[in-house]
Amino acid sequence: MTHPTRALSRRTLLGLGAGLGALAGTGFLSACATSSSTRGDGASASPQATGDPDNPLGVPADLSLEAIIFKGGYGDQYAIDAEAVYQQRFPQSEITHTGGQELAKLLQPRFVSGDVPDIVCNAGAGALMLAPLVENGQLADLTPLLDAPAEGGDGKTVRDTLLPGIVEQGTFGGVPYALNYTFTVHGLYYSSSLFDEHGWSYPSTWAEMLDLCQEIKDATGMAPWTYQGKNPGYILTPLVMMAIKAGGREVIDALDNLEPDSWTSEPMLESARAMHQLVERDFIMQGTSGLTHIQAQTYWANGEAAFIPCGSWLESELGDVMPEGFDMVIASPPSLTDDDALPQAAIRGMGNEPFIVPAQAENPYGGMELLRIMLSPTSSQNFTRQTQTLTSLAEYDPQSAGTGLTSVRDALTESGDDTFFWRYGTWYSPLQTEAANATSALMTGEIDPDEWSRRCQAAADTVRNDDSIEKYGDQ
Amino acid sequence: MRAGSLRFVVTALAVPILLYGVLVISPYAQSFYISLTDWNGLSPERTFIGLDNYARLVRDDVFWISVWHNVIAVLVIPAVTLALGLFFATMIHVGRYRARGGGRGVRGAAVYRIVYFFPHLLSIAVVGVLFSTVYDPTGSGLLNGALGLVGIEPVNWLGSKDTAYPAMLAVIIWLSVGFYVILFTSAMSSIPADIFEAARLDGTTRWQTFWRMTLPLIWDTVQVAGIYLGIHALDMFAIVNVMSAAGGSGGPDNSTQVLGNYLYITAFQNSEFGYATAIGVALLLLTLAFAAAALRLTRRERVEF
Repeated sequence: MTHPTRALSRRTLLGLGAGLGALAGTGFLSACATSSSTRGDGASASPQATGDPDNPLGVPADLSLEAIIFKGGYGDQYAIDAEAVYQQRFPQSEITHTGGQELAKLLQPRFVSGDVPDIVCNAGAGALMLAPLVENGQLADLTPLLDAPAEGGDGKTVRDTLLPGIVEQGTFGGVPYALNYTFTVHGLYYSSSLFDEHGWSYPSTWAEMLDLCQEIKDATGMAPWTYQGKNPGYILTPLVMMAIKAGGREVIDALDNLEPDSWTSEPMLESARAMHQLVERDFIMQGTSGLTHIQAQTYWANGEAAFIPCGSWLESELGDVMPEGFDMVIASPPSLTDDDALPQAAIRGMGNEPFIVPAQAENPYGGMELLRIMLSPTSSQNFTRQTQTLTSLAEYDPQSAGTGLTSVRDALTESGDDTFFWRYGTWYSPLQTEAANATSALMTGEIDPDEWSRRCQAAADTVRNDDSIEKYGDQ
Repeated sequence: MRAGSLRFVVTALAVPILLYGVLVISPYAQSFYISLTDWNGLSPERTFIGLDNYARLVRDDVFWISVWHNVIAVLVIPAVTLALGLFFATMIHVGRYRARGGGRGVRGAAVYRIVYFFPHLLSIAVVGVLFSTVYDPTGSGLLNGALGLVGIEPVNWLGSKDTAYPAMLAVIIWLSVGFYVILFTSAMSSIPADIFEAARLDGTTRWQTFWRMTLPLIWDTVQVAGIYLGIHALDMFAIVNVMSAAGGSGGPDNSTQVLGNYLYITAFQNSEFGYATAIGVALLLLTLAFAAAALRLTRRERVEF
C-alpha cells in the first residue's frame, strides 16, 4: 500500500524531526519509543504544554499526517473538510487521505509491520477489532485530546463538550483508546405520514403493539414488521432494549459482565417471548429472514411493512430510496409491562464510527488534532448537513434537520438521563455473533424463547470461561 | 556432455524451484507454524501454544458444520455438473455426428456452445449479487415470481436453513456446467467418427453408445474435470461470502458456513489468525485427501485409439 517514495519522505521527515527534537515535542518521541509495541504502553506521555491556544496539543508543524477514513454511508467528505482546516493550520504538513472500506484488510499488515497511519476512522462491516489492538498496546491513549481545550468550546475541554457516555464507550480497562465521532439512537422506525393517514398512534406498551399490528394487518394487508434478516443483530437490538427497560440497568451490567443468568433472566426471557409473539401471530413480512439490510429497508420504505428496527443512520442510508412525504420517525420500542424500571421513552443512544490513533503513529498528536477540529461545532454542523446524523458533540445546533433527525433529537431529549447503552457486543464479538444467530432462529420460529435464552447464555458462558479472551467488564 | 546437461538442468530449474520455494513452500511451512500460535494478526507478537488450536477445532461445532458442508459440496457439485455437462455435450455432439449422414444437426448447436459458456465469463461476485436478487424471498423476486405463475407459494431461498445451502450449490453448478460442456464436446469431437459408424452398423442403441464407447473414450477428460471440480467445490468461499450476508456470515445460523468462510470470519472479524490458520491447515489436509481419494477411485483402464 505504501508508495516507496512516500516511505522515503516519511523517513526523511523522521530524520528532520529528530534533528528538531526540541520542537518536535515529547509526543513525537514517545511515538518512536513505542515501536517495540509492548502491552499498555501507548503514546501516553502528556504532550508538550505549548500554551499555544492554536496548537494546544503541541503538534509538530512539519510532520506529515496520514488519515484513513471509512467511506461508507456517511462518505468521507467531512474528514477531507477537516483536513483542509488542519492544512491551513500546519501548511508545511503533507496530508495523505485514504477513504476506503474493509479497513481490517487494509490495516492489518500495516499494524504488523508498524508502518501505521496517524488516525483511523475504524468503522463499517470490515473494521478492525479493537480489543486485540488494545491488548497489544497498539493504540494511543486519547487522554491528551480529551483534556485539551475544545475548538469553539469557550474554554471547556474536549471531554466536557462530548455527549454523556461517549468517553466511557471508547474506554478499555480505564483508558480511552477510541473516540466515537457520531452519535446514533436505536429504535423502531415508522412513517408518521402513513400512521396519520390511518389514524394509528405509536404504541406505548407491547400489548398495544400487538393490537396495532393486528389492526395494520387487517386494515391494509401490509406486514406490521420487517427487519434486516441476513443481519439478525438488528432485530436483537429492540429485544435487548425492551429487556433493559423492563429490568433496569442491572440487565445491562449482567450482560456486560457475562453473568451466569444474564440471558436467562426474567426480563430477557419476557422480552424474547414478546418478540416471539410477532412470529406466532404472523406479523413479520414474508421472507424477511432472507433479506439483506438494503432489501429490507427498501421494502419498508416502499410501504411493504410498517415497522423496522434500525439505528439513526437509516435516514442517511436510505437517501433517495425514501419516497417524498414519507416522514420517517424513530421511537423507542414499547414498554414490556406496566411497571417497567425505565420509562418507555428511554432509548439506546451510543457513539459510532470510532476513531483511533495508533500508538506507533509518527504524528499521533496530529491525528488527535484532526479529531479536535472535527469535534468543533462548525465541523459537526458540516457533518450533519452531509449525513443527517449527529456527532458526539453535545449542544450544537445541527441547523438542517429532516423529519428523521428531528425525531432523533426529540427522542434523545425525552429520554434524557434514562438514555442507555451496552457494550458486550463491542467487547466480545463471538458472543454477539452467536446471540444474533440464535435471534435469527427465534424470529423464524425455529426455536422458542427458552431455547433462545439457553443458546445465548451458553455463548456468554463460553466467553466467560475462556481465559484467552480479555475481559472488560467491572467484575 | 553429461556434465553439460546437468548444468543445463540445474540452471533451467533453479529459478522455478526458487520461486516455488519462496512463494509456495515457505508460506505453507509458515502457516503450519502460525497455526501453533495464538497470533491475533495485528502485531508481530505471538506465543507458541502447541496443539491448542487443533484441540479447539475438534470441539468447535461450527468447524464440523463447515466440514460437513464442504463434503456435501465435493460430492454434489462434481456429480451434478459432470452429469449435466455430459448430457448437454452429448446432445450437441450427437446432432453433429448425425449431420455427417447428410441431415442437419441439433438446431443452433453452435449458438448453444457459446451461450453455455456465458456464465463462466462472469466474476463469481457478480453472479452472487445477481442470484441474491433472483432468490429474493418475497413474491416479487424473479424465481418466486416465476413459481408464483404456477401457483407455488414464495420460497425463502436464502433465509431458510433448508434451502439456503442448496440454493448456493445450484448457483455454482449453473456457473460451472457451461465450461464442461465445451470441454466434453471437444473431447468427443476427437473420437474418430468411423468407430461410431461401425457401432451403428452393429446395431447399438444410443444409450449403449454413450456408456460403452463415448464415456470410456473421454474418461481421462471426465476424470480430470471431476478432480478439478472437486477441488473448486472445496472452496465455496466467494459464493457464501457474497450471498449469505454483508461480510459473509455463513448464515442463516451457520447453515451455509464452509471452511473458507469460517476461516475468513475467524481471521478478519474475530482477529484470531492463529486459529484461522489452523482451520486453513485442516482445509489443506481435506483437499489433499480428496485429491488422493479421487485419483484412486477414478482409476480405470485407459482405452487407446
